[in-house]
Amino acid sequence: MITIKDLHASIEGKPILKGLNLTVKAGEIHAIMGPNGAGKSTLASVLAGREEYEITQGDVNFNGVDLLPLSVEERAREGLFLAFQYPVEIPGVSNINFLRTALNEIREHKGEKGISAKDFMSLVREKSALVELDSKLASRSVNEGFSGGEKKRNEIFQMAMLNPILSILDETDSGLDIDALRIVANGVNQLKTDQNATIIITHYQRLLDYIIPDFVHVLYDGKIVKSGGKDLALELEEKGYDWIKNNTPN
Amino acid sequence: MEPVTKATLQVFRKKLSPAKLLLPSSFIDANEKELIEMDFPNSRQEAWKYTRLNRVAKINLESTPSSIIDWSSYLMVKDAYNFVFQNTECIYKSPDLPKGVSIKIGEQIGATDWLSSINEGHVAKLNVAHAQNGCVINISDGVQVDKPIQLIFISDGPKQPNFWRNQLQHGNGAKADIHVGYFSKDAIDSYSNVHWSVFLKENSHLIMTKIQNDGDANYHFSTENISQLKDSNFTLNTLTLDGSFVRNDVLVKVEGENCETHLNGAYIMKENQHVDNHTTVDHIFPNCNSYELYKGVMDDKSTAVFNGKVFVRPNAQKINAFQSNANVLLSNDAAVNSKPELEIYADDVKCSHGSTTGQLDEEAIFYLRSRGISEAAARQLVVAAFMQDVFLKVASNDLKSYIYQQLAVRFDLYLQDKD
Repeated sequence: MITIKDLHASIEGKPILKGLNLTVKAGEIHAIMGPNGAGKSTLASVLAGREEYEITQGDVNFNGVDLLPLSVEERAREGLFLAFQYPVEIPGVSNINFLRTALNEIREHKGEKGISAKDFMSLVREKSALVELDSKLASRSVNEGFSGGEKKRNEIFQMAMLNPILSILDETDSGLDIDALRIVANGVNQLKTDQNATIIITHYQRLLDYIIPDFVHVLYDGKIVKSGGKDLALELEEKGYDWIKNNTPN
Repeated sequence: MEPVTKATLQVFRKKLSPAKLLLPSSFIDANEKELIEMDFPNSRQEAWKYTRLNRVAKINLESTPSSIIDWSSYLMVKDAYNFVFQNTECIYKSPDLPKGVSIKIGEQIGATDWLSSINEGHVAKLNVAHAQNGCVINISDGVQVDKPIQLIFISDGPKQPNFWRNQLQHGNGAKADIHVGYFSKDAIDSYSNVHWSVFLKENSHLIMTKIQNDGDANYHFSTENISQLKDSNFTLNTLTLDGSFVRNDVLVKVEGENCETHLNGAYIMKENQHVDNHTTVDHIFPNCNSYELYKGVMDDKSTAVFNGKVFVRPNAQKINAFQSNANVLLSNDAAVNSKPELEIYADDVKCSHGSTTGQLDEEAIFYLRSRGISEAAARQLVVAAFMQDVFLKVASNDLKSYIYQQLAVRFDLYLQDKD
């Protein structure tokens, strides 16, 4: 699905990712954990195509396509989805209208016909129920006046609508109370198939009680320094990130 | 050597034809005498501080024969009572009009058809001196016009001068939606000067939406003088979608109680374009509300001026006057000069004004793109969202679609320009 090889990225001349390797296959859920400043959000940003980051080395193969030269929107049309840590409020742009435009651009890219208004609306009803998002929220301006939990549920709702093959959840658990966390996790679990994959970026182990990862990786100082199964997350939670820091040669 | 100052306006007028419209002597008598004493204002004059007329003063205007055009391609909405002017000619007149509506064009207009008129400043005076064509619209008492009346003015050819003069008398209790469109074709250093006098009688309701879509190098000067009698409701939407140089002067005299006045404006400028909106709302009577909302999106080295004046006269108590101007700059070289002016002589009024200038939210654009939407479409969505509260004031849905369609064209072109 995605193969990241020796990825180096910097922002304003400061190296953040320093040789990251990661392979994710269809049907897998990977969790990337790590202390603050390790480069977790940078990885999400670089994969989504944020232009402030400079890729200095390495390559990323996404489903047979060289990902790095693609623009943000081309990546999305190829089936990459980023659930934002801080979803943006866009006053005046309707959630529904923009999603329909996005969905049609993605379908057009795949050589499919645009979705009819009727089919689109029934899709909205089905997918908003999945994350228990009030359909009134779905038709409001993008994230405007949404609570923190509603914003995150809206991210998963969009993910459900666009049906990506690889979803990257960037700190989706941050700021969520336990009920919202359960709803979001439930949505992600229901969307999982053997055709798609998920990368969960998180600081805490908590989310992984609800979404069981196949692999857990520890990102530290721009590299993956330790990989393992779901038990690695528990071990990290118990021993703290100092355990990694103290065992990583500089 | 530069010519001595007084000569400039006279040099500019040299090849202009005298007025072809028959105007009352009360308009003309003093006008020529005053005009001869005048020159183009310079930037020391407050009303022209940020709008330099040097380039206008230097152009050599000369009437050229009009080309053959497909006037129907200029119609902004199809279902309307249409009138199309191309330079000095009226090339299309709606064959039918609803009962109670009369529209006289050019030679049909007699001197007595013109009501009183305010002609201050060189723009309005030039219009009196050189008015070539235009219309006088009368909407009788109680008439509700079923479809928009749509007037299209096309400036055709390089160095082409155009002076159009129009009047609208809106009867007691009448209701209408007027669309006015300004376009240019093959304009290079062309000059349009259009004047409107609008009289709203008691309890009448009027929406005027003005689309300025001069694509080429046309200097466009537009003056609207509006008079509102009691219980009337007036809306003017000024949408400047394209145009290298646009100056709008709007004066609304609220001459009766219980009136409502809405002035809305949107301007979307690029390259070296310049737009200047000067508005004045003069509250002479108590118990009235006025609302003013102007929004702009500025790219490249474009510049905009907003100057909104509100007068509240001593006896005009219980006035609510709100004014807002918001701008988005898409480039570091674009600039906006925004100036609200309130002059309040009554003591029981509520007036507010606000002005903001900022940038397009790049994070919002990234968010939309990350969902698969192209950069052009994302920019257009965010710009349209910013402008939305102005566009929503346009009454006709057909005209709204026209505006959004123009916006789409504009933002696709915008990206191609950059590549």
